[in-house]
Amino acid sequence: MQDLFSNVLELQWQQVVMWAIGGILIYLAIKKEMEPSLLLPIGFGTILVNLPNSGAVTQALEEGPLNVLFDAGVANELFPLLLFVGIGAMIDFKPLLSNPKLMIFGAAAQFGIFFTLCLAFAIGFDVLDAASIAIIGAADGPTSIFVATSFGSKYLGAIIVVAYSYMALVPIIQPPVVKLVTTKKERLIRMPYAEKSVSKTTLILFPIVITAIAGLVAPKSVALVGFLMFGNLLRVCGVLDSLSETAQKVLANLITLFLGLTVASQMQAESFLTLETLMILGLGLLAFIFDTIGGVMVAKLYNLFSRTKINPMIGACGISAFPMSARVINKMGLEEDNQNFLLMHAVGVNVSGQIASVIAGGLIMTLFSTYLG
Amino acid sequence: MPNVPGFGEVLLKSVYGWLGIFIVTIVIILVVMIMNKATSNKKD
Repeated sequence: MQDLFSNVLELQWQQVVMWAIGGILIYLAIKKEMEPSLLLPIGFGTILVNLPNSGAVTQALEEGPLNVLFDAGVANELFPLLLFVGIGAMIDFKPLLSNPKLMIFGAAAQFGIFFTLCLAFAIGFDVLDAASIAIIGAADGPTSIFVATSFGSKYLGAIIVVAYSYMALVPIIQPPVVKLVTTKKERLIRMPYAEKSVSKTTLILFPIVITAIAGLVAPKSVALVGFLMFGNLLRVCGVLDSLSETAQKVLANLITLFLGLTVASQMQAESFLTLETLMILGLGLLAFIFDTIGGVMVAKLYNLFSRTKINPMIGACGISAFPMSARVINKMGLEEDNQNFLLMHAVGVNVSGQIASVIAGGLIMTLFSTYLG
Repeated sequence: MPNVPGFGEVLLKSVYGWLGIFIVTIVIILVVMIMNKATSNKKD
């Protein structure tokens, strides 16, 4: 009889806390519809790995399936790259290509990554962990996973949960920050939209050119940028519609399914319930806040030198949380002036943020890989 | 500046990183503008 309940007696209170955290993630995914495709499998996986002697994870000599999947697709950075093929196939670069100057705000809005990197290092994190935490500011799940795994960060689970949670919280995080750094007069600036056509040749050349340029400057970004742009090339070439559709739907969904459960293997109590996790929560939030501030401030700087003023709020769309950030800023613009439709400009900047965040990830890997043992 | 060993180097690399994104972005903008101009009169 005792054998039946011996495992129950090995339950620790920290594991029960992790069940609660898993439950909260599931609740946020289902009830609040916050990034359900990731938070639900991560939440459920958190419960799976925090049962005493769980068969889902490796115990002594017995390999657990979640660790097998982790080694097969996350430890070697394969899953995030495959997911990027799907994401690239979903992106429409036309709003950006019709007004390429908007890309500058995508670059500006990566400020929070580098600010947070310095701050995390200053408060005591190892430089590679600081870089892995800072990449939360890329607001891009696959990039965060890719960089954190490449750097062997022990905070992978916390980083991913924080990254996806804050991406879903963009409608709450960005508006007060944007209002803090802009004036009413600036928020009322109108930006009429005139659709400019983009040739099919440009659409096809764009992913190839981006990969080459980014790869020449930051060779470690070739995998990230290359897979994203390969997906986009599938979409725009016009002769591979079935592959493009497969990448957007089947591949993206399959990898997302595996990724969520697999990442949960890093959510064991002893590695998650630490003071560092709380610090990562705070640093991740600061990364998002300073991304927003960076984008808006560069937009305001642009207005000092440009005859045609832009609404500086669109600078905040330079984070990679697509299309959430674009919708948030469009809504803010309409609240100030119900005839000011910022959506297409905001989408252009938001899309540029996706490119800039991947380049940021590649540059961080290039600049800080010297710290790898 | 915080008195943390190596902070200066991390700060410098971070500045390079952010500047690097701008440099890459400006190059991409210029290339896209050239592509748009070159292909604007062609019929696809």
